[in-house]
Amino acid sequence: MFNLNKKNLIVYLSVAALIVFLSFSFYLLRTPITSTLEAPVSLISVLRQELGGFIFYHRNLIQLRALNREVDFLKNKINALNEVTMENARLKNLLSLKQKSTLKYIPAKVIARPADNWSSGLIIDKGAYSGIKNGMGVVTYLGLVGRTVEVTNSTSKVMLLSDPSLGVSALVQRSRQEGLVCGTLGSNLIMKYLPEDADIKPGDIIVSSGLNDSYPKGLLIGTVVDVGSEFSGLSQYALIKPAVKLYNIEEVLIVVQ
Amino acid sequence: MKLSTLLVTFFILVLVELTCLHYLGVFQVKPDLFLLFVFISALFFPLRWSISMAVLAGIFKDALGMGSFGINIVLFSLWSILIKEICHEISIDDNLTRMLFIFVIALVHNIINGLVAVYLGSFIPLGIFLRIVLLGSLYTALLLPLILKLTKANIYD
Repeated sequence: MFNLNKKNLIVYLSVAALIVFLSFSFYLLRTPITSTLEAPVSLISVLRQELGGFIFYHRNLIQLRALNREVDFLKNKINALNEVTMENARLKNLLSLKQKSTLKYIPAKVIARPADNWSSGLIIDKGAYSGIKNGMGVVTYLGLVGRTVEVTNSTSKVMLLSDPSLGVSALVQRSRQEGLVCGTLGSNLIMKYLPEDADIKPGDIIVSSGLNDSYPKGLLIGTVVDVGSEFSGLSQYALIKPAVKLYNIEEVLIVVQ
Repeated sequence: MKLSTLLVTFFILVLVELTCLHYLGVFQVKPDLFLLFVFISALFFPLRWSISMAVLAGIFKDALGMGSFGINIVLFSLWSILIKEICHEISIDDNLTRMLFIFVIALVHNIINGLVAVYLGSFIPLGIFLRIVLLGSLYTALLLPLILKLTKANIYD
């Protein structure tokens, strides 16, 4: 099938050497490729958004009315909570407790998603020019989303919680049991390294533990939907439904510590 | 098909893959448009062009992905040479044979990519692994006639 005379062999070997060289040095090509594609991808993103606005006009109108009602309700709730916060601050001052530093956020739009079934991520329209660095936590108003992994001048790649390469130190809000939350590429996350007698049950809320600098303590990750034993029987795992719908994100906030 | 048309097709496929394809995913699995591009290049272009296109597709897929190793550059080039050599030996002129052929290639490609991900430390449950491998390959194969139809007008230019 392969005609391997001397000339062909040299050509094949040269091509193979070039391919191997490119495969090991492709990391250098990432930044220029992502930067080059930023403008057309952003344009398509805007067009898609506008087109969606026209097509789903009626649905959006109904949603707007519902959201306005919710905003009114939440405004009342925020007012009540402000009172509690101020009272809390006064009491903390009285007890001389160290005040928790407030976090700063950089808002960003999702403009694309990586072309791969074996990882889970986003490409956002903010990069180093906006003060974003590698390893920063990414959230939405609903909870934790992931972490920045590659930053160019004007775009960044975000690895989502559902990516199996990402691990987040987390704890069960009720029992303070610690574990490691990882992605599975599916719709649920998995919390690993739970001891055999861990106090965890379906319905428990999982939050970030704050052990890693990327993720501030207390960020909502999700809710436990199932608990099982590892094959060895020495430890338990828990399946977690993420608080954020990771496959429908359009805007995110990058946590600047 | 002219080289300029091929490059425009490639650029459109890259944009579609990045921006719109996510919404067409079945069970969160997307078809591999880059692999389809490599397959079409290998079917209708000389070896040097098909390898060049395979390397280009591999660079883009790896650069726009989250993996840490340029495996797609190697695999796409390999598939390109293999398709070219097999096309010399047997005829794959009808769409059904082509679909079967691309299904097998996509299957092997997905299995290798999945095993590399597992080898690099990712925990992927067996069910999700099989879903991505089988459904991703099937989806890619089913999309081939559509992509061929969209590009066929220019193939014999």
